[in-house]
Amino acid sequence: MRTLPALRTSPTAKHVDRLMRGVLWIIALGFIAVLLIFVGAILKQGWPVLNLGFLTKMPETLDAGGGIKPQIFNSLYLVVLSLGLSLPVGLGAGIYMAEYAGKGRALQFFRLCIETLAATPSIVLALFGMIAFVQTMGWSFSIRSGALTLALLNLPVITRVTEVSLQSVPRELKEACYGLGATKLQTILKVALPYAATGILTGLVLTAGRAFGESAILVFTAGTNTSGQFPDFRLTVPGETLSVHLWSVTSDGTLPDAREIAAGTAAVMILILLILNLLVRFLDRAIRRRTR
Amino acid sequence: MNDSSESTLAATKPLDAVSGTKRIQPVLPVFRQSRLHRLADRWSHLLFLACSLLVVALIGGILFFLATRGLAAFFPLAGNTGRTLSFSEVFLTTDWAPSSDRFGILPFVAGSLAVTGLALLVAAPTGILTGVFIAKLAPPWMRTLMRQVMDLLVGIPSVVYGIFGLTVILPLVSRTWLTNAPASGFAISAMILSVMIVPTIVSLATDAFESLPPSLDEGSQALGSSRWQAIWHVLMPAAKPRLLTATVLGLGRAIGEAMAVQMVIGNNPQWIALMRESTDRAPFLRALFTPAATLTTELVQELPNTAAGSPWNNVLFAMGLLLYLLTMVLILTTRRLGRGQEA
Amino acid sequence: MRIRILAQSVLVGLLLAVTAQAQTVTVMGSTALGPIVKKAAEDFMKANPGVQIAVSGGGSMTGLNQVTSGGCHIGISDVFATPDQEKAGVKNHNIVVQPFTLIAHPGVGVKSLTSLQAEQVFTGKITNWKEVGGKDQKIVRVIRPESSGTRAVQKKEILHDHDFTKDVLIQDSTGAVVNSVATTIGAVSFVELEHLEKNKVRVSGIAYNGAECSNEAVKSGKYPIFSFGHAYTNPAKLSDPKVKQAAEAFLAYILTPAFQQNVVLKAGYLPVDYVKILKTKL
Repeated sequence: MRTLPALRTSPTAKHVDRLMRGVLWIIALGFIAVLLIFVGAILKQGWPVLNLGFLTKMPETLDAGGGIKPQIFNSLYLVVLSLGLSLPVGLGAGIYMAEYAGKGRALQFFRLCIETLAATPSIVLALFGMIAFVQTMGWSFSIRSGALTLALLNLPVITRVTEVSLQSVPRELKEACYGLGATKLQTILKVALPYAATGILTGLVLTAGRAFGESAILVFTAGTNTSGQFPDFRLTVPGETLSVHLWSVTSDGTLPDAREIAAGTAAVMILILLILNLLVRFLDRAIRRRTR
Repeated sequence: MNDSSESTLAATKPLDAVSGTKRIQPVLPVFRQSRLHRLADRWSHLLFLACSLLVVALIGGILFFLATRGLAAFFPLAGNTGRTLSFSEVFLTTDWAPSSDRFGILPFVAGSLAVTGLALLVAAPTGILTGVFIAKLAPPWMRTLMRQVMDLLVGIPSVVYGIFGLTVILPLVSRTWLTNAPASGFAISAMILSVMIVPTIVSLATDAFESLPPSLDEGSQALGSSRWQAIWHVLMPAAKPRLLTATVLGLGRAIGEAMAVQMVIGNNPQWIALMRESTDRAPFLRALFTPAATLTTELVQELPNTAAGSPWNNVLFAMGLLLYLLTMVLILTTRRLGRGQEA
Repeated sequence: MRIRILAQSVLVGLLLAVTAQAQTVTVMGSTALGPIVKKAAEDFMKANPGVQIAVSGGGSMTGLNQVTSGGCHIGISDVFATPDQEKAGVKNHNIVVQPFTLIAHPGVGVKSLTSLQAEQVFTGKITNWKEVGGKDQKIVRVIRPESSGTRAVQKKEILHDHDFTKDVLIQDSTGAVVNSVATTIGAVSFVELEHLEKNKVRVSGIAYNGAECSNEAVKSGKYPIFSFGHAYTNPAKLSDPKVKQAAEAFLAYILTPAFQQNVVLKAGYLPVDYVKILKTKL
């Protein structure tokens, strides 16, 4: 234990104190400004392009004036599919870690794995998906390759959120349940999970937002083209999402109106994310109201 | 975020002690227990265990698949249909010209380190200070606002950051910068990266400061120190391990980011050779605005256009493997830091 | 309850979607050729409702890798297959001709380069536009990444297989290249002809050995720098006769005069039959 340095409130210290408070306020306000400029610039660039036609037309391959209808669909479809794939596994793993793994080495090891997966760069997951699904399984660039790889991105977050939410279930609640003669499984399924559901749901929405914005993974697994049909539920066709579209129109430059389309796509993505964010906020408030 | 929940739970005894293998006598038999229920109870944990093991298997699977392709660059494995390269020519030379059979990846490693370092230089101090601000100084409304701002910043997709850099920052800097060359390079990439990783650092730093016992703060103020003195001399040192963890995780995010950086960095694999030949009077300043490349940008850029099994393709996978191993090292480092804090 | 019904219907929909697969021909590869192949696919599917053609990008070599291993049925590429891939039995079909031209920032004051000058500009022997009769401006070379098909053509045709100088600015796509050249004083680059024609206001073309690049010049044989867009198939891996038939019919459709005249020309490429004397390798 180190000893405290002699602390005296000298006049200089007071000045430093005031100065540093000012600096902290400036930094914080700076970040707010960055966000506002950022969102403002994206929306301002995209606003002239945003209209019903842009949202509901098919993309053009050679001419100007294409829309982003299938990309919107693919984004949502891939998010739903990848969540559908990672939710059961994530729930299972989260339940195991919170309720069964104890506090020992096993739990530490599982946590280490989850943290590693969470920290793995998406480009690395993309390489894995490309070797495993696109090449080894021979699935080509397709919705199924994309959904499976994207699920790897979601999995650690869902597991972690499930674990934390289950841990926050009051012990008395579970004890009461055992008191009513429930088995451990019944307690988890009928009492703990429903209690933790809002927390898990919040995590799920956050995960959805992340999957929605992901591009590196999908460029290498779901491809940079749409199938040309709408709506196309097939799992074997390539499925370009909004974020991939944003990247590919910018870097290909074959469309005469690539800039406008990129600006519009970015604006649509920001708007969708703002809506998701409001949803999280709403869920968060619901949780807090209940815990009070 | 993980440790705060741990600490609250550490105080309570594990429930297993209560439920155990022997069921306690029900006070009120509300739950029906058929044989089926009991069977399910006995075996269900295996299902949950399987889910956890799947995660472990995935970690191994990713390593395995990347290794089969990445190591094929150096060993005559099945995935190698071309020349077998030596470690030294790949990791220790700066000349990347695969179509002329030269495979030095040092420019990408150095590029990744440089851009990550620059981003951290901005993001770590501002992130930690913002963490202090949120945890200790900000009025409640500002606290809520800052959390929302950080949530939004972390939620913005990397391609949107990229397009912002490409269409807003790049033209702006190119216009004000006095050279006539496009300004793409480390400076702009790092600028964008720092905004991308700041939320990670802020949220972990905030947790770190909030989880400190209030007595620390109160004690030093009772001794007559100013608010800032308390923060600087007492809280910062106390939170140091977790602040380091926050920085390391921010580093991890920065080094793995691909799309946003690829869109603004200029993608020149020969940047080191170029800098060496340059006779510029301010080489450091010039380096900041020279088109460069990183591990991730090179992967995005060239992987789709290389023949499977060729040394070129294999070296790219080796770069992916390197990134993955780096992730593991970083995570183990955070563990180490965490342990230091408990002791 | 409503959620459960919703979930069930989604599940049923998924199952239906998985089982109701039509005859699908998968096409992968070059992002540059992607748009015309995609356009061809749209037209072809309209005329043949039973057939599905799924076009995805990924890059020229991805297309070639995948068609070699049987991961897709047709691989489209800006570059020729590697010897290994040829040994594995992939079959080339030239589908379009792609002319290339030198471009520069409008202010450089040079309208034409000889083949030797062009080579030396990119190998770094010539560093200022005044050495080739232009203004006193430093030459800024904008090129594509190593793995790009355009760069391969440039290296072969302009640099005669010499190495590029290291003092270059690299841009991932032709679009980005054109933007760089348009905004950078002294910039020079090498792009597909269509990109010059779309951007005549912003960048100027540079004649090669006195010949300006144009469709007519390529057709008459006056202008020598062009490459082929390729579609590769791997007959050994096309085991399903229905898919094989559909793939062949699709390739035949791309080569019909109607498609070549209407779409290929409009997209900035030249019909294959413009160039009767085939060059062996690029």
